[in-house]
This record gives sequence, C-alpha cells and structure tokens, in this order.
Amino acid sequence: MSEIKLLSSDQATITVEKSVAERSILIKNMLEDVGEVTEAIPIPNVNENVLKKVIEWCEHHKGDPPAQADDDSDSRKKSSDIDEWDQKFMQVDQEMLFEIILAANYLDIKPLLDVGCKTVANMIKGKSPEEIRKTFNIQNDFTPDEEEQIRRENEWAEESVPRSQPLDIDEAC
Amino acid sequence: MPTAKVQAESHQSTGRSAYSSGNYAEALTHFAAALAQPNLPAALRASILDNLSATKEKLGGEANLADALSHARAMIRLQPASAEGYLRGGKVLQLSGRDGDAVRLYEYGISKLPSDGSGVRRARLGAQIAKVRSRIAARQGAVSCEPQRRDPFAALPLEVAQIVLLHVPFRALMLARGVSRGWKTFIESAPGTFDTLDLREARRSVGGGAFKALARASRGCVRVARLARLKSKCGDLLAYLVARSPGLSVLEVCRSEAYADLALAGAVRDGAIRGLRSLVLDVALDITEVFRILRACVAGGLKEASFESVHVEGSVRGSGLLHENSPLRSLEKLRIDVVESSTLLKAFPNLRILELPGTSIFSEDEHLDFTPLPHLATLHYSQPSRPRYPLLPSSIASLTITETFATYTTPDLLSSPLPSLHSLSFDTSPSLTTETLTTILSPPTPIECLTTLRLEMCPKLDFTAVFAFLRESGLAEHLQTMSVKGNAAFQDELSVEFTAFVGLRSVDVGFTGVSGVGVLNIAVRAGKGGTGGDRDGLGVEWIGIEGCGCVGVDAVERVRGLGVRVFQGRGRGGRRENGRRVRHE
Repeated sequence: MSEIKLLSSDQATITVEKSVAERSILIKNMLEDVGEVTEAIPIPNVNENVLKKVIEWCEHHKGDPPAQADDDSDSRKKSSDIDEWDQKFMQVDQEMLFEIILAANYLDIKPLLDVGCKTVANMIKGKSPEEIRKTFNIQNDFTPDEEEQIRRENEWAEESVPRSQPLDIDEAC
Repeated sequence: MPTAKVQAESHQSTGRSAYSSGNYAEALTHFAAALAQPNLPAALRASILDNLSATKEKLGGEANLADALSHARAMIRLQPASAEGYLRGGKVLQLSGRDGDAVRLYEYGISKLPSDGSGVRRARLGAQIAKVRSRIAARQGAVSCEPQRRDPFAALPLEVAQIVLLHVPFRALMLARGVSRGWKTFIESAPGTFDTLDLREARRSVGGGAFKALARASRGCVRVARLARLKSKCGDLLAYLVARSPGLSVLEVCRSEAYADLALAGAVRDGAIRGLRSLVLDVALDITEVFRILRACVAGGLKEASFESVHVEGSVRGSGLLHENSPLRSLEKLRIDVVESSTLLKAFPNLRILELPGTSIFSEDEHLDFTPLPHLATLHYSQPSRPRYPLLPSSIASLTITETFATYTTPDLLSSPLPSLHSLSFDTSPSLTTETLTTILSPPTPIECLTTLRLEMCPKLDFTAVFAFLRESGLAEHLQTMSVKGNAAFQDELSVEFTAFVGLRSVDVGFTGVSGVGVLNIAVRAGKGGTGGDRDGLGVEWIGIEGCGCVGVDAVERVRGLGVRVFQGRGRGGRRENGRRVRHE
C-alpha cells in the first residue's frame, strides 16, 4: 500500500494512501504522468484544513464503485438525496462548505463536487426568497415594483399558508 | 583552519550586528552563509534558523513570511522539545494574520519554556497572546453581527454554481429568482434552467400572466415541458411556447382547463412541433383531432415517436381518417381511453404497446382484430360485451383483459398459437366463467412460456376447478407469478393446491377469504419443487395479503420467518381503515 505526500497551500505536508488520493482525477492523472514521486505534490489552491476534510471524504468513499457515465437525457437532476454519512460530513459552516466544493472542483472529485452542490441546492429548496436571503446574507435589491411583479409571476409556485394538521380523529373512535 | 562551527558562529555574529543596525539584506547573506556550514550542532543550526526567520520577518511580504514560517518549522523539527521554534512560528503566524493558529503555537511554546528563569519572557509572551486574543475577539464580534454567510453564486465559480442549479427543482428555481437581481439574471440565463419546464409541482393554477412570463423567459430552450394546472387563458400562450421551442421532445399537458389543450392541439396540428418524442395529452380530445395531431407530428419529421396516454372521448369518426395516407409508422406505444373501431389500428403498424383501458364502443358485431399490428407485445383492452374474443398477432407477450362478458359463442382467444405469451391477466371480469377460462387456456398449440397468470375480481370462477385444470394441464409448473386478488370465494382449503406450483415466486391473495393458516400453507408449499436450475427449492418469495382481515400478526411473523416478504397494503391509513372495519363489524 503505497503512500504519497500532498503539500497544502499553507505549506503543510499531508501523507495519504495513494489509492485514496487517486479519488482526485487531477492527482491520478498527475501520478500517471510523472510515475513514482517522492516529494510532496503541491496543491496550491487548497489549505490544510480543507485538504484534510477532502481526504477524510476520499477515505470514507475509497471503496465506492467508479462514477457512472453521466446520463444526460434529463439534465435536471431531481434527486438530491445525500447519503447519511455525507450529510453529516457536510454539516460545516458555509465558508468551509464552499471551500470543499472549490477544492473538489479543482481536484476533480466529481462525486464530492456533486454532494457539495446538492447540499447548497438543498439550502435553496423549499424556501421563500426572503428565507434564502437570510440563509446566504443577500441584500434584496429589487424595487418594490419589481418585487411585486415577480411575486405575481411566481404565485403558482408559492407555498400556500400552512394550515395546522387536522386532528387524527380516526384513532379516537 | 577554522572549523565549520567557528566559521558559522562568526557569520552569525556579523549577521546579528547587521540585523541590529537594520541592514536586513546583509544580515540575510551572513545567516545564509552560516547555515551553509556543514555538520553544525542542532542547537546552533536552530539558533541560525531563528535569526534567519526573524530577518525574513523584518523584510516582510507574503513570500518572506512564508520563508520565515518554513524556517520556524525547520527549528521545530531540529529541536522539538525547545520552545524557540514554536514561539518563532507563533510570531510569524501572528504577522501573517493567522491569529488563532498563532495563539495555539504561542501557548504550546510557553509550555516548553524552562520552568525557572524565564518569568520575564513568559510575561511578555502573555501580553502578546492577550493582544492577539483581543484581536480575534474583536473580529469575532464583527462576525457575529455579520454572520459568515455568503452568496453561493458569488463564492462559487460559474460552472460550479450551474451544477448547483441543476439540483434545484423547477418550482424552487422559479421562486429563487425573487431573491435578488443577481439571482434572477443568473438563474434565467443558466443553460439548464428552462430545459425542463415542469409545472406539476404548482401549488395553484398557472394564470396567463405567469405563464407568459415563463414562456418569454425560457427563450426557446425548453426540451421537456410537463405542464399542469394551466388556466384556460393559457391556451394561446401554450401554442406560443410550443412554436418557439424548437428542441421540444417531450410534451405533457395534464390537469388543465380544456381550452388550453385545444389551443395546443392547434399548435401541434400546424406542424409546429418537430422532433417530438413523447406526447401526453391528458385531456378530452376528439379522435379526429388526435389523428390530426399525430399526422402533423409525423409530417414534422417524427422518426421515433412514442405517444403516451392519448385519451380520446366524444364523438368518434376515426376510421374515416385511415384512408388518408401516411400511416403513423413510428408510433410504438399508444394509449387511448375510448376507441371506436379496431380498423383504425391499421394506422399504427409498428405499435408494441397498446392500452385501450376505457369503455370501447366498437360496434357489437365487429370481430376485434389486432393482427394488423405484427409487433404488438403488450395489449391491455377492455370489452364490456363481445360475442368473440379478439384476433391476436403471434407477437403478443402480455395480455390484460378487463370486464369480459361471457356471451362468447366461440371462446377463441388463443385459437391461433401465441408462442410468446408469458403474461395473461383478467382484471375485473365479473362474467368470466371457469369453462371460458379453461377453453382459453387450452389452445391448439400448448402455451409453454406462460409465467404470469392474474385472475383478479372474477367472481364466477370456481377456483377448485381452475386449480385442478392448471395442475392437470401442466401450466401450474411454469407459473412464477399468480394472483387471485379480490376473489372472496378463494378460501383456505385451496392453499394446499399450491404444492403443484413448483416454480412460483410471487402470490397475491389480497382481498380474499384466506386466513393465517392459508397464507402459511402457501408459504410452506408454493415454489418448492422444480428440477434443476437456480430456482430449485427456493420457495415463494412474495405474498400479498392486502385487505385480508383474517390474517393475524403471528401468522405474518411466521411467514416472514420463512424468508418470505409479506405485503400488507399501502400506507398506514389503509391498514387502519381495514382494521377498524374488522373491529366494528
């Protein structure tokens, strides 16, 4: 079981099993190109904290079957199911979440990139625009007229005012 | 000859004086020369590294600070037990703005200081730490007013942000346009946004204004349109959308007001849809209109079409259209709720799946003939009152018949060989008699590959006789799936008959009179034979007992204990209702 070293942007050296590091297509291709390496591979865009987190993910998923070829027939991916471990893994502050996504993108780890993007998508889904603004600290820069216009256009999509659940009287009789 | 050590010390001292007088560049060269000496003792090397790091620190700038940090790391490697490396590292980190890390290193370094004679230093370092801490606290104070939350579409590169959008369903995406101007522009211009225009999740009817806005915003990018809850005013807009979406390949309109669909029909008929692969019109359309639409799609260059659920009702004059040219050869799947005459089927010679589940209004004496469809594999039809069973092509593999009426003069369903038939279902056939069924199942050529037999809601069947027939004819041996769902006449004593069904995998006895004893009997007996093959002795895998009020919990547990999956019905509500009915009756 061979190991390789990675050098984070803040000059920390992290030793990692080669097969784990090869979840990153970038590193995999690099290793294929240069053959055996002894010195640390510089990962200039990723700091130590994030790199450790990414490696944690890769270690947990090292046994995963290789990613399926993309089915482009329906490009809108409705399922945003994230497995339980990944959900826990992604319970980090937004800054870290975005850093992980950026690292996955840079290192070319498609499944991790997808999990990250799904996590962000889940933060958008099921929320009103106001709730989304709060979630991501975004300023509402629409004029009242524009806002009214969008609200009218989106009426069909808006969640109706939630009513309290009717009492379950079946159980009573 | 001065030793390396002496040379190094001399360079170091020259360097120190240069450092004290502010000549950092000069100091740097001397310290570097000192470090270049071979075989220096660790303490001296560490001390020179310390000087080097301090000099780099003074020079400042990102690259120098990075060097300073790596010198500090080298010190720690050389003398892990000494405080100096950690303290030096802490200083560098503090200058680099990494306050949290700086505090950690400082504190670790202090713990390594000798316990006596460093009181002054400790105090100075303590003050330093306090300074860094207060800086951290000030920053965190600012952070807590302004939480670390960032607009993902600003934080992530374009291509990644677009992947995020692909995971947001259409309805949520449309709502998210209302967040800010930036979001609106970004969402509307992202390539995948209007790829699938999906209104099935609509919470209210989609009015004219809203739909117009969608149609305009989509800018012809729609490939899949699943439209629902359109108000009647949307009809013309729908035609507009369809006409402006050259890439449209799937179109579904359901739960909408009729006018919307008629306007759509107009758009399709006029040849506006090219390349449509699937069309679902879940509305009442005259068959004349349906034919016009279908012909328009073919004329529009349709090559491999599969139209689903073309529901038709109203006055039907379909057969007249057949004499026009262009048979709809590309069509493989068709569902029509109501149909007048089987002759219209000649228009679709390549059909593989045909569903005619509604009340067909064929003329009484017409002999239904599906033989013009030589590729037909799956047929579901209902016929309330027919003198004869239909003629079937030999390609039929799966046949489902609803509401048969036993006035057949010639029960000749299988009078021609059906070598491919593997599934036969009678679904809600109140008049199907045992005689008719056995005649159907005794064709001139034996049915050899029949693996699925469903006899659901057939109250006239005498199951004792049916089972005897299945056993004697040898059909029982081949069956893998069997359903007698909805027959109250099916009772426990018949469960022993399942011994003959040596290959059975799945049995549905839902809504029958069986009790726990019967279910257990089936579980123990069915599917246990078989000679050779991988199915040998495996037994039945699935039993459906939905609505069987007499099957107790303990029986279900025992059956499950045998490794059989037991289906008790869908949802908590249904079961509870059944339970209550049992209790109160």
